[in-house]
Amino acid sequence: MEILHDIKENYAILKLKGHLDLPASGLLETEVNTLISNSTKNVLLDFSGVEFINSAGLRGIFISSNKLKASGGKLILYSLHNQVKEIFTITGFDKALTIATSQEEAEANLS
Amino acid sequence: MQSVFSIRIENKVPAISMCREKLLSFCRKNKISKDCMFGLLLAIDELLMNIILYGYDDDEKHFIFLELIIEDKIIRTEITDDGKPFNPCEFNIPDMNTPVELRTPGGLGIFLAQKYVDSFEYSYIENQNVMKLVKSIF
Repeated sequence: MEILHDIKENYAILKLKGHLDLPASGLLETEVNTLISNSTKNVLLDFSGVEFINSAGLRGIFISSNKLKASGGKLILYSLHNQVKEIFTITGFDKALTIATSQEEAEANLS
Repeated sequence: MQSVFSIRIENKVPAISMCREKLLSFCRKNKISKDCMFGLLLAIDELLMNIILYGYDDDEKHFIFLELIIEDKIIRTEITDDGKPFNPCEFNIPDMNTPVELRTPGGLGIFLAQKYVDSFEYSYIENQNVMKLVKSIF
């Protein structure tokens, strides 16, 4: 998995590309930890490039979201493919996370 | 017409994504729809991950055997490993209506694996765990 950064004034966008599996989940958690230690509060995750996710990927997202919450911030996912979105829905993870349809909606969710 | 794919995978985490890539190209060659392929790959991924992460107590090299047969609009998958006996069909699956924060860990992958196939059968034969999955092609 590839993770591209876009650091804005009040938040960071991480664009994920590829399969969100166990190794990718570890990579994402490390990225989020680094952002938190650099005082980034909110992270938007662009899911448009995520073609596959498994249970390890779900857990990684959940852990990252909790870490950001604990430091007073938020994790927002957006632009999920239908199949990927379905995994969040059938497992109930959609209720524990903030999922937006677009970047604009995700940004509006921050204010 | 029958189309067969078989692979021997080492019990290491990087082998999972390598296997997934090979399965992807096999499914594409056989013109399996994206939706159908996604569910099958997910089920296989979850089972392999369980075997590799929890199936062995030693640090030895082990091999997991995976075979896929596509015939008559059905995909049959068989996964065989020599890990500890483990029947995923008997595992206590967490209730997906319970808030994630309150769930005890474990069982999420098995839930997903079962969800995305039509039949999910386990047997223990000659010191081997054998998982048989059947999925209709749509």
